[in-house]
Amino acid sequence: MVYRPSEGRNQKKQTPPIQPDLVPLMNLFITIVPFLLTIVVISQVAMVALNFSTPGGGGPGGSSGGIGGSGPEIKVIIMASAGNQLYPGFEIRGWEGKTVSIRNQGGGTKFDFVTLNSSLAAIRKSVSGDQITVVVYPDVLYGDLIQTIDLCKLNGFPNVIYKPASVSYGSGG
Amino acid sequence: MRKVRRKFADAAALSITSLLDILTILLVFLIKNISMESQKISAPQNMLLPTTITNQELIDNGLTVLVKVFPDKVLIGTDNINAGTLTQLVSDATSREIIFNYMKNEANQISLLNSRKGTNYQPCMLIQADKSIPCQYITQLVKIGAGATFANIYFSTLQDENWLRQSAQQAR
Repeated sequence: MVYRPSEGRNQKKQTPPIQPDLVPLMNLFITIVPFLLTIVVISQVAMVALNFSTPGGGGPGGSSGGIGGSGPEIKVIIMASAGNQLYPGFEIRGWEGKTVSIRNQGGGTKFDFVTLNSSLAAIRKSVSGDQITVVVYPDVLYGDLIQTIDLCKLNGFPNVIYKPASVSYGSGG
Repeated sequence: MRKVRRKFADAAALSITSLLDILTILLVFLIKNISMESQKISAPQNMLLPTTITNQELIDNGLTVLVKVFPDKVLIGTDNINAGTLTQLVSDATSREIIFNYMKNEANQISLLNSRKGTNYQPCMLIQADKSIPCQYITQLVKIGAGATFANIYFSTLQDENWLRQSAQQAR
C-alpha cells in the first residue's frame, strides 16, 4: 500500500541559498564614498584667540588692552625691516629692566623662533603674571605674528595683548 | 549513452560582501566626521594658513563671523561678500565702513537673538588670513572688529606640533 507524502514534509528539492543582490547598494556606496571623501576636512584647523573684553576698554590701539594683570608689562616687539633703531628680529622689553635683542640671522627675513622660545621660557620662570604684549610693526607678516603669539601661549602666557607699533612717517629730507 | 559536454564553465560569482563591509565602515566614519559647521570654518582654498602648536576652542556660547583675507581680496561672512582689496582696506574709508557696518549688523543680530531666545551668545570674529599678508591689514580688521563690539577675536591656523622643530632645523 502506498501512502501519499505527508503535507508537513518539505517536498521541495534542496536549492542553493539565494544571495541578495548587492549591486544596487554597491552602486550607491560607490557614489557616496568619493563624494564624502572630497568634502571631508583632512587638515586640523586650529585657532589662536585674542580677548578684548577688558574692564577698562582697550583693544588693539589702546594703551591697556587685554586682561588686566599685575607686575611689569613684558613686551615682545616684532620688527621686520631695518631702519631708525629697527632691525629685523625680536626685542623683549620689561623683563627685570633688561632689553633682550634677538636679531634675525644675517639680517634676513627668517625670525629666530628657537631663541625667542628659550627666552620666553626663561622669562616665564622669573615672572608671576601670565600676560604679555606683542607689539607688531606693519610690515611683519601675519604668519610670523601668529607663531610669536603661539610661542607666548606655549610658554605660559595665555593672555596675549596685540598692539600695533606706533609708526610715524616723516616727510624725510 | 550520449555525453553532453558543457561549452563554458560556470562563471564564478564575485563575492563583494567583504568590499561592502569595508565601504559600510568607511561610510559611517565619514558621516560621523562631516558636519555642516566644520564646513564653515574649514581651511579655504588658495590660502596658506600659519601653523601653531597651541589650539584653542571657540568659547561655548560663541557665534562666529568669518573674515577671509586673501592677498588680493577680503571676503566677509559665510556668504563670502567681497569687501574690496587689501589696499582699499587701508586707504579707503568706505571699504572699512562696509566691513564695520556688516560686523556691527551681525553683532546686533546676535544681540537680538539673545533677547528673543533668552540666550547669552557672544559675537566672535574669526580671521582666516594667508600667512604672507602684512600685519597692517590684520590690524585694521582687528580694530574694526573690536569697534563693532566683537570681544573675542580668533585667528584660524593649522595645527602642527613640529613647526618649531622644523624652524630650528632650517636655521642650522
